[in-house]
Amino acid sequence: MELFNYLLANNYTKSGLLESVRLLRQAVEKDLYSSDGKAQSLGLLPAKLYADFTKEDLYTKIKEYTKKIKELPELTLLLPFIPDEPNLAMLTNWLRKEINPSLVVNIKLDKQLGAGCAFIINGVYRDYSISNELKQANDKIQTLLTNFEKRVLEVKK
Amino acid sequence: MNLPSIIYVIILINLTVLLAGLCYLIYQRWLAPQSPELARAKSQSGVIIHDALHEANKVLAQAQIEGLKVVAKEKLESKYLEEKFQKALEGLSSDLTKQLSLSVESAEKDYEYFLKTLETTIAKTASANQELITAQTKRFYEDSNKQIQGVLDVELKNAKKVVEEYGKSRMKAVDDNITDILDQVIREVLSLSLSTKDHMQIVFKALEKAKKDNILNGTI
Repeated sequence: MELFNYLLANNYTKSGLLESVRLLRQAVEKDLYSSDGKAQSLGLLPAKLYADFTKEDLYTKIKEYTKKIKELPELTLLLPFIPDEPNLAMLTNWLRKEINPSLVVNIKLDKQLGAGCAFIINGVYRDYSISNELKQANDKIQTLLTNFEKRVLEVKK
Repeated sequence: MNLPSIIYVIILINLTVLLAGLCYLIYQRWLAPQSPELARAKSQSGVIIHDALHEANKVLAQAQIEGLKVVAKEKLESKYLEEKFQKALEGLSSDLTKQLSLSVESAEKDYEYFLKTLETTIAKTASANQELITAQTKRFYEDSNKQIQGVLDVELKNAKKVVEEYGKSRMKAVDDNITDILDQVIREVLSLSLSTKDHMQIVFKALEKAKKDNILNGTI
């Protein structure tokens, strides 16, 4: 579980996790089946995390990790921009802290939002963007405009 | 005998016959002896003809003399008549000239009087017509002015109404779309002016709000 938690801590999306597991499998295969017998450094994972893999349980464990990844809770987050890696980490960590430590995100670009974000939770769309705020304030804006028009007409008279 | 000889003989015979006839005629005309009765008749007829010619000449001479006399007399009479006619004509001409002069003077006076009268009448009529035209024109102008003013007032009122309605409809359209317009403007402005850091701050603010609304808690 230490290895899975490490992978989860360093990946924020399901696709990222699955890619990491694929690279892990490749690295362990080379480690176990290479002719020179030397382990290949992955650069991604500390060697001690995958030193316990044997030829017998490698694919069973990989399959188990893949299944667990697919079962992870996922939040679809719609943003008006594409965040870079540090910002994505910041966002995901905040969500894991506030919602669920095992949460992964699925980032979607939606420029119509203007600013802010929207997300889909359990199939329900929630909009917390500026655009939505503006729509919510439509009545207030209409009232303001009507008052403004009345004042203009009074000044004209 | 050949043919030319025959022709020659025929011509000779013809000439002979012709000559014989001619001789007979000469004889009958001049050489044949005349009868005494015929000679006497010829003599008497000659005398008669001579006398007749003589008488005829006398008559002709007399006629010429008479003709000359008549012509001379006619000339004298025509000259007299001409002088008399000339005098009468001169007198008549003088009378006519005087009469014509008088008539012309009278006509001139009448014409001057007529012109003056006509001028006065025209001036009076023109003045009356001028006043009439002025009055009618003034009345027409006033009537037209009133009609035009009325039409203009109605048109202006309609135009104001149309403008007001158009303004209201446009304002309503703007009001209806103001949110969309503002939304579009804000999105354009935000996309141009916000940095990633700003975006992140707004996203966290939105997430905090969602948390406050209990949208995130315990749902996943």
